[in-house]
Amino acid sequence: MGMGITIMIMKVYMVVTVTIMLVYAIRHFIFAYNRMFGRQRLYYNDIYTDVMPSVSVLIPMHNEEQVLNFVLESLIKCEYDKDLLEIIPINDNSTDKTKELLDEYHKKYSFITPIHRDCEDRGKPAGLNDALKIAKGDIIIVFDADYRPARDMLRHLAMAFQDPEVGAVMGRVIPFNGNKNLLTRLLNIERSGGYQADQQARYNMKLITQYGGTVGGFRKDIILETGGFNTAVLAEDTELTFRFFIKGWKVVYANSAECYEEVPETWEVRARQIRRWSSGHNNVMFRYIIPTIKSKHLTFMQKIDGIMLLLIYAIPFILLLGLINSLGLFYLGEMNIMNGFWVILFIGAYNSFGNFAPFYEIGVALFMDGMKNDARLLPLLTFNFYFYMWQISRGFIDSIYDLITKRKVKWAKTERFVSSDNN
Amino acid sequence: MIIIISIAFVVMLLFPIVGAYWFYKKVKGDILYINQDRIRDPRYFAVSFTKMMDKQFESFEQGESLHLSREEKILLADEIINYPNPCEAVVIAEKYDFNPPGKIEFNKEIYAMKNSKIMDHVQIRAIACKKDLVIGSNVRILRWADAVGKLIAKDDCDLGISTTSTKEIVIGNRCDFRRLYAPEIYLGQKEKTKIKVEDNLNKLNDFNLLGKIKYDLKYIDESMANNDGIIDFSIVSKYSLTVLEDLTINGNIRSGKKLRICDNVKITGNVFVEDDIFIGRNVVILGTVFSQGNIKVEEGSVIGKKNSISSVIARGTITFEKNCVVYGYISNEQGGQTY
Repeated sequence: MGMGITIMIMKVYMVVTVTIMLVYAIRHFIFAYNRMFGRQRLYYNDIYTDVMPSVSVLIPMHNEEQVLNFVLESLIKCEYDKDLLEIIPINDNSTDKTKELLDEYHKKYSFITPIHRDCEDRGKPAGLNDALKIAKGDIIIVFDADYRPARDMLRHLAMAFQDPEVGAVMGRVIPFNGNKNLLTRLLNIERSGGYQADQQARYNMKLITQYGGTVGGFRKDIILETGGFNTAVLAEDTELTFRFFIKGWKVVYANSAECYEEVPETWEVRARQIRRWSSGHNNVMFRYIIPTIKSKHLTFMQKIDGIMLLLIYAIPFILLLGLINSLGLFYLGEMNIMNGFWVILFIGAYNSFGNFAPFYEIGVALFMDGMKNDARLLPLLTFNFYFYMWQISRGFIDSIYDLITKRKVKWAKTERFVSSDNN
Repeated sequence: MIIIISIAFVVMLLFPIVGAYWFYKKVKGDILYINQDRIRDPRYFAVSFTKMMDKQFESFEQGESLHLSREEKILLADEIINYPNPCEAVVIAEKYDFNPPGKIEFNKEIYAMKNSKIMDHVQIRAIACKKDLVIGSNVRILRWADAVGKLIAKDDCDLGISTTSTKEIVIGNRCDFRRLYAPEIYLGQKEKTKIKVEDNLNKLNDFNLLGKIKYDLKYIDESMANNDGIIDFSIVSKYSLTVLEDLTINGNIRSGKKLRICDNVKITGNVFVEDDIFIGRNVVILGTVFSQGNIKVEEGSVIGKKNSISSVIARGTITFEKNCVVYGYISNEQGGQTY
């Protein structure tokens, strides 16, 4: 009897996993199709106006002596009225020469006003909160320390706020070290799919476009009214996205606001990064899944997309269990779940094994970026799939542990690989 | 048999992976290029063309060609009476006004360093004029036209992809356009009778980028006005929205569907709409008008403010009736027209 119930549960879990995989496969296929053939929504970069908002650029930094000159020099060259601009590098408990270098910039440029944090309360959200207290701009734009914005980037991002509905804007990041090794090459094509196809399609379809935490901006008043950044959350960017959407604000995506970034060059660093993203994202999922369902400001399709987006870092764990489950059913001789026509469901679902859906998006994105030859690398993403499944599952378990034990999150910065000598 | 099938399975499983790895080893990947120094300039075509021409022309000797993006034959307009038709050379008018006869096709760029007057029924690929440019009726511009001085286009012209001026543009009736840029753009008008925008309209207060907002309205009417008769908030609505006549709104408007602005409305802020916008007669909008659909502007409406730049942007079409004025920039993806 007990065995019978166990097998029944395993079979039900099998069907649920297969259904989830199919739903996500369809979702990503729709996005890929929309990007290729659907109606593309205009962004605001065509607008010319001399009524621009005041902007504070926040740059969280922890031991960034090697790279901080890149972002600051780029921002100094930006075409934005300097009377409407301030740059606030946030030196967060650095132990290298970050403080000294920032103070030198402050002496040379009055609109660069660093803050130096020397406290136990480390981390990006805490640093941003401190900077928000002194920021004068109506619009806050955040860059990571290793980014290199183009001259028109600030204007490009700030223009979105001419629209009274826009609460936040997200640009596109492009790896500059994509040719370093196999990992960076694969991350390059993943980024292409994620931005050029996925984000743009969600923007076209007026779904939940994500604020990514960097190369993006938001209205200062909204974040302050809602209590600032939550320091208990690792994924403050995802948290901001849902906070804004639930309150009726929109996050828009600026595909042409492109900025170079550095991607991890070793599998160890990438593992830590993806595990951290998973933990943070799932933390946001626990907090926002019910408010997303209940929100009066979201359409039905936005709620569906929002829920699917929130669950995206839980799916690999569900799939991992599903794989183990299916092996168990196989060896128990209980794989005969459904007959006839329903077999197609399973074949279809297992053919989207590894969530082939990203393949459509990445393929479309590479074609649009003029990098269609790199579509030949797609089979190698099979290894990424298993790698991510394992690391994301670990991150999911971390988030469950944090939820149960109320453990305080520990911040870790992604290791840098570039140096100022290696421009 | 099982061994053969197993081997076939393994080969088929590994084949794409081996192929992908071989490709990775043999072919270096592409890093997308970002032009870090790029600045958007509505007069980009003319500015880059004239810069190139001025540099090359310094050392030009008669009979030679110039190397622009490739070797181009040059025709000096100052010495020409009869143009070949079609004209396949880049034309430069250095000392005298450029006034070619009608019914000619110029298939290369024209660089006029003085005034220029294009007669009726001429087709031009592109023209950069350092002073005033007058475009006659039924002229077709294939790519762009720019004037450092005034640019006047008469009726029934096709103004190509981009028409720009550093001073003002006056466009007649039944003209087609894609992008227009000038501090003052007079649409559906003649130079001698162009309307004068009332000064008091320029005194409307600038708006706050983010003031008080009311959500999900379908109509804006006078009952919402304050004691001064002004509607003092922005509107963000997921519905189609209608703004009734004679109202003044000190704020922005955002509609998730269509927007209709009735006659004599004044709006100090921006207007953003997911679908079509219909702007009635004698409407004034100081900010930017942006639509993911089409925009229709009726007679006598003004968008923008003197000595300031605003934009009218549509993913679809834009049509202007007569006597409209825009201060700044107009852009559409599917065709603009003056009535």
